[in-house]
Amino acid sequence: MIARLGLRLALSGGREALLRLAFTAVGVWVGLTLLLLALTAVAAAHGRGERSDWQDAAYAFSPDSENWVPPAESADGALFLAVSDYHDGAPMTRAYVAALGDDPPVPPGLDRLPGPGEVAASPAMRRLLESTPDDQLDDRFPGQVTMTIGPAGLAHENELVALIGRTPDQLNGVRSVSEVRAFDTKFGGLGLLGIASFQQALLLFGAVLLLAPVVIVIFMATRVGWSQRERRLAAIRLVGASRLQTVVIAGVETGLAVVAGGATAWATYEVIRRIAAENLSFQGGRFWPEDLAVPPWALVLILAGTPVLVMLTPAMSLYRQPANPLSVSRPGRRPAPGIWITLPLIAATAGTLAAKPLEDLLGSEMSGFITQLAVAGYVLGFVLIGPWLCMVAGKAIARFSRGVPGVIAAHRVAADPYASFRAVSIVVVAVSTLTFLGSIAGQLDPPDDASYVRLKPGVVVVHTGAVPESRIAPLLSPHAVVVRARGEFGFLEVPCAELSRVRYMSCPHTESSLTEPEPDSATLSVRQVFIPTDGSLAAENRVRVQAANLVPNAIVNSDRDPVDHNGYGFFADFGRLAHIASLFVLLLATIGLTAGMTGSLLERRRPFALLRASGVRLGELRQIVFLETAATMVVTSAVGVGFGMLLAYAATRRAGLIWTWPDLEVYAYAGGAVLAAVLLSTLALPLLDAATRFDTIRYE
Amino acid sequence: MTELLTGRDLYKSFGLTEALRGACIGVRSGEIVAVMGPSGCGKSTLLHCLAGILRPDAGEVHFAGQRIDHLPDLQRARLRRTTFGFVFQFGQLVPELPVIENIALPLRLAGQNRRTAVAAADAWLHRLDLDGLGARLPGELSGGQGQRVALARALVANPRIVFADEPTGSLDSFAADQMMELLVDAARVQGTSVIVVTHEARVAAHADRTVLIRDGVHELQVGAA
Repeated sequence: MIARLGLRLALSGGREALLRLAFTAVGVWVGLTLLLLALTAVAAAHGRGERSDWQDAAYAFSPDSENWVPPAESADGALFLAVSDYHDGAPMTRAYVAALGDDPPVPPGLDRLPGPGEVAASPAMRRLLESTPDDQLDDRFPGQVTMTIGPAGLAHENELVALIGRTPDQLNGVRSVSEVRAFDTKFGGLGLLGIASFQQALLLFGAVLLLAPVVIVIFMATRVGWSQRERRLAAIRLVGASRLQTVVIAGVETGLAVVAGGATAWATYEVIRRIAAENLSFQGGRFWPEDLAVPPWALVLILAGTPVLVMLTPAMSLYRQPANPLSVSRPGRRPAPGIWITLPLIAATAGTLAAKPLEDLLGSEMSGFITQLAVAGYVLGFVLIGPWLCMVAGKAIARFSRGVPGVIAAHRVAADPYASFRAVSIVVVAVSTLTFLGSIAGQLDPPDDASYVRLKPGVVVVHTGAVPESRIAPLLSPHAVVVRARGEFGFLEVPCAELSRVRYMSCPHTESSLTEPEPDSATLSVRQVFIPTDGSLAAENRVRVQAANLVPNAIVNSDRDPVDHNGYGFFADFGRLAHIASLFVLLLATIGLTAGMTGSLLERRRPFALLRASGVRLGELRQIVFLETAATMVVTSAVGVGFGMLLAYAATRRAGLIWTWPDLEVYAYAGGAVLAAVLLSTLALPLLDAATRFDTIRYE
Repeated sequence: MTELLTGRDLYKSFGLTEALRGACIGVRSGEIVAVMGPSGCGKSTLLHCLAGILRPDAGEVHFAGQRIDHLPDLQRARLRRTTFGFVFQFGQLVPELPVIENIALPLRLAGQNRRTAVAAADAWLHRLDLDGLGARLPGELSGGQGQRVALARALVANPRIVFADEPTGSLDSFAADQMMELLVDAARVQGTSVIVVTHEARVAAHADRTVLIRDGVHELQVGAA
């Protein structure tokens, strides 16, 4: 019965109540949709990585690896090697495997290992093999293609990958081959490369910064009209409703909007997810539909948990605020925030600065844990310090303004700095996120062209590792340029004049790793061979076939290959993602600020109307709202810029990169966002006239 | 006659402000008592303490022989719903509910079905000369009409005592007299006690007895004791 009363109150409260309901529902819809899509993106990236993680097994089990070693999956092991290769600029993976017994581990997507003479290929690779002459491609994969790798072992449907079955004797002694006991390198895979740990750091920091605005938007949307609702509930309490009954009434109203918003968000997410699975191509292929989805448990948690959380908020609030005949009585003025609230921020900063030096003492895991604690400290610290900053802004208004609006605005901010911070918090989070993304992107500027090894057209380079000349004799045509080295870390010895025929460079040698050959150089092992060809794809492919058969672990490149030294391709991708994330955050900030301003105006319409009734002009009222919003926004956002930079610094140090100060454009971008937010907030000012007419609040 | 409601040595402070400093009051069954005093003397606080809306810092409130100031919130809410009625200066009506639903609200909160509650509310519309206004929202009523709706809501559950805090404060003298007449007549018919807080002598004149409050203490009693 009480629930029905709540439903009736929500639905038959006139146009304003319906608008309030719609506003809340739309806010929840947008917030939840964005949250689900953000989580889908994380799940898709994670799923894609997990499917191809098996290719890192050799590295995971390498004796040189200091990383996490996956637990054994089977009684026997297998020798394994995966090599990056290309066909006409398209990346492919050529892997070799040899079972060391009857029960070897098997990669995902296969039900058994290919035996000697057998090849397992992805569907895309099979199609490519069928359409390419044997001497250009098939011969790189000795054996017969008898098996197809299924989706479980493929990052995407277009992935080019082949697993070649060999005998243990054929792989023994091949450089980089490892004995693997499992192909499930899920967890370790993320930490295998320096670049992966950077991804981890970005996921951690990015998730915190991107999800925070979503939560704020949902919270703000549900707070619209809060004060009217509190007064109405107080009236109901007065005539004898118990606390539980008022909580049910409040919960039904909020729940109705949240359920409507949540259901719409779910439908929108399902539609977008399906469209994306059909059309969205990323890094060479579409995502598998099952990867492009929030895990079911997370979906249930979000769709069921959000209404529960949102309904619990008014419940908690109502339990703290007993009914009063004239309205809801407040628990009194909250004490002004003290200086102690800066402690979490100070501790977090100290943690960030100490994490890297402590890595040598405590190890990488503990250092990572300290960084994570520091991130939590930053978030907590900033939530705590926000109201204090608003109080400072209030004092600044009081100090510098002479008119009545300034005095009123200053007192309003000082009286409830928590509410002031709540109204602008979304902008602060957005500015912090933009600064974070901009600062991180600044660390990832690609190096100058000069540091790339740029090949001349038609030249193919074979990175052999270190092999005797006799092993690669068939590759050594009269025009080939051979680069030798003294040991693993010695200079690369090659005549500069010869090398400059095959790659762009200046002579004499200006690169510190290169030197002219010593007299005994001819006896040294070969590290690289540069082979000029007629520039045709067929000629390049024949060199690749030869190299793969002579030195299976050799890396072969031509000027057709998208060179990605040190993962700069990922950095470029990150740059694009950062722009998308920035737009996402700006969109959320716009919605959040609109919701915050509308909610704030509605909440204060009565005192504003009373001010108006007592002679304050509408223009002065607008000045009050503008001053308290703009001043708190500017002060807190300025600190938000520093906050974003601190997070970027922590992420950079965690990834082992050297910190460089962000470009001026990052500050300009953040400043522009604050300015845009201030301008946006003025759009709500015309509402003041309608919202504060005395007749509209007569019976509130 | 035994007292239906008594407040003994009531103290209540809000921060540094002492609103009540040992106030005492008693109301007999069917009696109409006016509480008068200057603004800020604590008369509304006294009313709220007696009605179980506020808990006094010290002292006791007894209703029908039972101490109520220590009751848990749930039981005090039940008292407000079934045994007490309230009228305040601005009606405190729920703006989203039409008049008829506002009047029926205490009955519905008590668990009565909608039809019965609305029928009872409808009878009060007629008694208080509010015919034809049942479907209107509170915002569409005049001040006097709104107060009469609040009075109907206060009386619909047949309470044993009605607490009225400046019920005529927002009305002109004619509407105020009409409101008090209705309140007093209805109370007499039902045998309901009324405790009305006011600072207007003409309102207090409708009461059987007037209690004066100054600076949070009971100062003087006028009329039959």
